[in-house]
Amino acid sequence: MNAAIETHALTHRYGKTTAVSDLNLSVPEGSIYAFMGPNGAGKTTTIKLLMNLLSPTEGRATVLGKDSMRLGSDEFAKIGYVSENQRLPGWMTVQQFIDFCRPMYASWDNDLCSRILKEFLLPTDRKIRHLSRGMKMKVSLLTSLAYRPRLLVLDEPFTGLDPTVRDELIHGILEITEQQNWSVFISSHDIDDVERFADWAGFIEGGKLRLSEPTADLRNRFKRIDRVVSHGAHLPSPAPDSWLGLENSARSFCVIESQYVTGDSEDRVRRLMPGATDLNVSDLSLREIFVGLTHSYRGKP
Amino acid sequence: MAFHFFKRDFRRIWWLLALWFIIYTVEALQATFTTPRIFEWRQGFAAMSLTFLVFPGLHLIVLALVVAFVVYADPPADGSAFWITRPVSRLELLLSKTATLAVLVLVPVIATTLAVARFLPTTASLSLAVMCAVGHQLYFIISLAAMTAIVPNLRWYGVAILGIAAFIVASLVTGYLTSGSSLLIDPYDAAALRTTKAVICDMLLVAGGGFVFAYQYLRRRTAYSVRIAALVAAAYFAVSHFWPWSLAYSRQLPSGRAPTEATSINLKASAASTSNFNLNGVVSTGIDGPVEIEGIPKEMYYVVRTSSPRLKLSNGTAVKTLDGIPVVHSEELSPSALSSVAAALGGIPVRTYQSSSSNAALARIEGKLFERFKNEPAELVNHFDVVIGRYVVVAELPIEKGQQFEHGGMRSEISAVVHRPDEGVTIDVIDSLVAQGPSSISLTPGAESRDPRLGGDPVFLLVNRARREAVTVNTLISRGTSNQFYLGMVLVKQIRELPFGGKQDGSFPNIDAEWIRNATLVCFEPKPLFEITRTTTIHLSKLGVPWVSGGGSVASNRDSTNR
Repeated sequence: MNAAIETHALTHRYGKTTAVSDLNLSVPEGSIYAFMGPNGAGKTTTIKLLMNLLSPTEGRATVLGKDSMRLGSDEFAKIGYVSENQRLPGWMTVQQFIDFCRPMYASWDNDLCSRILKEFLLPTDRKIRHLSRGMKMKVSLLTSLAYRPRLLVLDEPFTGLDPTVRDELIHGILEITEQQNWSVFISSHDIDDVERFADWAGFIEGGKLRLSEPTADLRNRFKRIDRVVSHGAHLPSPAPDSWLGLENSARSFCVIESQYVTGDSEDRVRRLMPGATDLNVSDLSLREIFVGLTHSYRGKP
Repeated sequence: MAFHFFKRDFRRIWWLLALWFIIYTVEALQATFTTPRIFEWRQGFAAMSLTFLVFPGLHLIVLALVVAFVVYADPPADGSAFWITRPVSRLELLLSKTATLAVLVLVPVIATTLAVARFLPTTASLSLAVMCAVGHQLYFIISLAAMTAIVPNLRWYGVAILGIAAFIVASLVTGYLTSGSSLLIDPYDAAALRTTKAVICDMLLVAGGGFVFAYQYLRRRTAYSVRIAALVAAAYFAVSHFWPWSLAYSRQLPSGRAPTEATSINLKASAASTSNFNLNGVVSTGIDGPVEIEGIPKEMYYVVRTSSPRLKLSNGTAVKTLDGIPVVHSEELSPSALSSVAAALGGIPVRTYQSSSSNAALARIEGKLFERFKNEPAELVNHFDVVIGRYVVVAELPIEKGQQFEHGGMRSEISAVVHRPDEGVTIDVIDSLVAQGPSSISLTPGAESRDPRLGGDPVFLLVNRARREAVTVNTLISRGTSNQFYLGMVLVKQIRELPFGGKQDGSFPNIDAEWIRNATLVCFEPKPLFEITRTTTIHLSKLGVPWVSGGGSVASNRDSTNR
């Protein structure tokens, strides 16, 4: 499978602070990649490096097969970039902005544009600077979807938006993913929103990529194991490395198994905690995986 | 795509452009129609002066805003600008911005061309005026464009503009910008040096600013661009303060017209007195004395272009002399110039108020050295470079308001003739000359002949041919209207008032209203013809004064050599 985005030992430093460190990332073409991480993890810096808004201190990145440092108008005609930080021309009305963007793209789809415009309920005659934050994001997304980009890069698109607007944006994003080979790279810490449509997930923390794999694999690999234990039972010490978020109370214990293998993982629990009786294995949401990972990596180099 | 952005920018700033155009037009109309009247309507002078300050100020503010709006529509220094991640060719964007800014250059240039064509019909003058207008507009617009390209947004741009304005005001208040060491050298060389510096600084700014602007749009490396801009600013500062070489065109004259004629010209110099100078805190003493030339025809004038003094004490010790003060006459016409002017009038005698002296600074010695050796006998050897030429009549016109003529790229017009109660007359003459705005460089065809070392400015005389009488009228009052720009800050208007009194002593013509009615205003220009070099040796019984009146030492005319 070709990669829409690929990075090799990508590093960026702001003075003495390393924002992104030795990042090796591969976003398969056609995937919806959720790039997750806590605030200050390096998500926005990574995206800026990918969009040639920043130059890497070390390493390199390719976007749609082209070195990110050499992205030009040909490549940007196939890339849609939406960011909460992007400054739109506030003096233009929505319609003027659409009319301004249209000639830049040979693949501009007027029907799609009209459809999204209608769905987003955007006031075309209002100046962009008079729009709410959510409306501005919609305008940005609209002008990034209407030309059917091969790659859509979204930097924290849902931050601070109300649930209705989020749903509308997500619907807009899903609209284009129906097409073949369209890739979406979305950074967010609103995992509940991303979970609905992401088929790949990457987790960055402290500037380092901690994991990157299909969400289906993640869900298979991460399981919650709950067990009722008899009074006086002890937790194993040390606990296996694959156990995250270990919780226990007087009569039960719960663990996130990050390397779950059907049967083997249960056997290991029984072996390590012989006094346990009832054992229950359940799926985890991406949010729970994310929180578990955040806690486990906190303090690690 | 470049045109697409150009249209968008134009749509955004049309109201600012309209405002700019209105201010520009008002300024131009004001300069065209009100300047001559200021001097008729003197009570209104102060009020009019205020408008001369207000409109150029407004003009600059609007210009700065137009440039900011154009650049900040797609700012290269702002990483969050939407255009960066759109399929926009950087080169095309640069072209579109350049095209929009070119409007700001072209409109004044076209207006100037149309306006100046009325006054300066010669191709040379017109092309020079256009060149000046282009240079002037480029200077401001490129500096502003470069600044906007490296400053991320309008807020910081405002801060930067205020900072620069504060620096300029503070510098003017403290005299930092106006001070310089150039007074230590020949003042005429200093003027040429100032022009050289100004031209280099302007070129640096236009080239450096243009590079920064283009580099930012093409590469978007703000940190590098800021460094380049800082280098340009440092170079600008260094040139404006430390550049030592004058690149001004120095007119070459042929050596003596004919060897026989040249060898018959003798130069005499003698030391008569000393005088003290204090230039920029450096005290020096000048040995002064008359310099006279014999053997030139009466229709010719002479002026000493340079002198190189060498001073040696009787024991062989060489005393260091300061370079440069050439032997120049005061602003009044020298006797030889008066003679030349009279000859140009066909022998009509010229009367003058002036008490001209041919005294000149023969050598200049640092104060401490002079004090040390002032009682020593010495020998002063001077190498003189002398220009010889003659005055020619370039215009003669009735003394009436509206009369005008052109000379050397300058247009003079009588703007007012006021007959005074004492039967004298005051004639206001407006000189319009082509000038470069930003660094006050004046570029005028024929301007090189106005170098005082070649003969100086045109001379005006009132001539009554019926009575075969002529009188000099000199510039006595210069109104401070230089740097009043005309039509896009292209034409500098210098107003000269030529007062003239009626009651004079017996040797002077009896000038009355009748005399003036029949008189004409005649303009003469010096035409340098050739130059010679002469060496004189003056034996000084004492380096210091006092000498005996009339010259305490013998002036000799050692071998004369033609250059």
